[in-house]
Amino acid sequence: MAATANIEYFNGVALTAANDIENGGTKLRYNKSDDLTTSTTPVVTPSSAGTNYSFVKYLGMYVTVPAPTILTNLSIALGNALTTGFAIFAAAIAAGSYVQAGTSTAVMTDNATTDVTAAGTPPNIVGVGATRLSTTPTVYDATGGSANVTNQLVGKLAATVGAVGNSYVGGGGNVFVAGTSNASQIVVAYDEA
Amino acid sequence: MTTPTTIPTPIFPPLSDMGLFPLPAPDAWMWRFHYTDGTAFSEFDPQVLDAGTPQERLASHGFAEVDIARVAAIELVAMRHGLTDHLLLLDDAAQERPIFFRHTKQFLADGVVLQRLRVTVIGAQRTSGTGKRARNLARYTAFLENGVSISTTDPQQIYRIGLNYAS
Repeated sequence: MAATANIEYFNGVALTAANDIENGGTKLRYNKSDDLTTSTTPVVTPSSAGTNYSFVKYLGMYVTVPAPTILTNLSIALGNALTTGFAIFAAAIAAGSYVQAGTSTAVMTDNATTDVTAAGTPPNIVGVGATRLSTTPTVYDATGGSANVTNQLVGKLAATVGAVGNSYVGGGGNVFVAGTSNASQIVVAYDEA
Repeated sequence: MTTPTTIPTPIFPPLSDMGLFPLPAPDAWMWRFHYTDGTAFSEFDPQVLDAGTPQERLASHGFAEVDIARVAAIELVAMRHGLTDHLLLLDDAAQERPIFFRHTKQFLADGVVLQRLRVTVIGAQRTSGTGKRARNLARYTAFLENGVSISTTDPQQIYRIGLNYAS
């Protein structure tokens, strides 16, 4: 029998499974705070050439009903292309290397010179080089882990960051609140046997 | 005169209809590996299915417990209405080894999971050639829960199922 594993958002000083964004829970929102609910700290569209980043949003596969199986090839992708001027980046972070968003190495520094374009250099997330998400799945953890656990993270975290550049057609200075239709679909996947 | 549409009663109803599992059935198919000595190893223990509690019936085995070297065939036993059983025979002469996994996708849109897609995959892999010319070859058949199946030698085609591509 397959385990029940859902995509989960993690935050807090210590790695904590926060809201269950599945089953109509809190929406995944790329803001500039370590939660999903604060709407007063949006990622603002740059008024000139540059890229502004959200706080790191940690995602991972969270098992609630165990099974004697192993989850492997944990991946993340976009369901379809993002609106021009938006991007989502991801890096694989081991649970032991978790750093709370907005602190220490998990601080994302806005880029004041380069727009977020397809040719741009992805940022580092928690010191790890990130990958710009596309419709091609990015395997962030091929090894994964045992699903014979309850209420636990399996495998690594996908540390994701939302980014908005000056090329966003909404114009300079507008508020960018990802997690709406602008953010497109995010597709997480895994193999289980 | 219109022809009434009737759904024929299956001779062998899915296990979920036999009251052995809470509805809906946990998985679309149960795997069963047939060994070369004629025995079989099922994902769910047959004795427990007959006499166990609902919780015990749901206790299952994992692919890691399968004796890979002894597998002669892979069977998928349908657990839901409208699905059929499938059987894949391994080529013993080619020393094929079984492949099984379930590939699951969760689609987040506007921040909530809108859809899940699960594909059950069986297949076989073998080594062709020797020494520096040795290559691993594999064949896969992926079964979607709407009854559609896809056969391929490229696992990336399985991973692309359900994704939207611009071209």
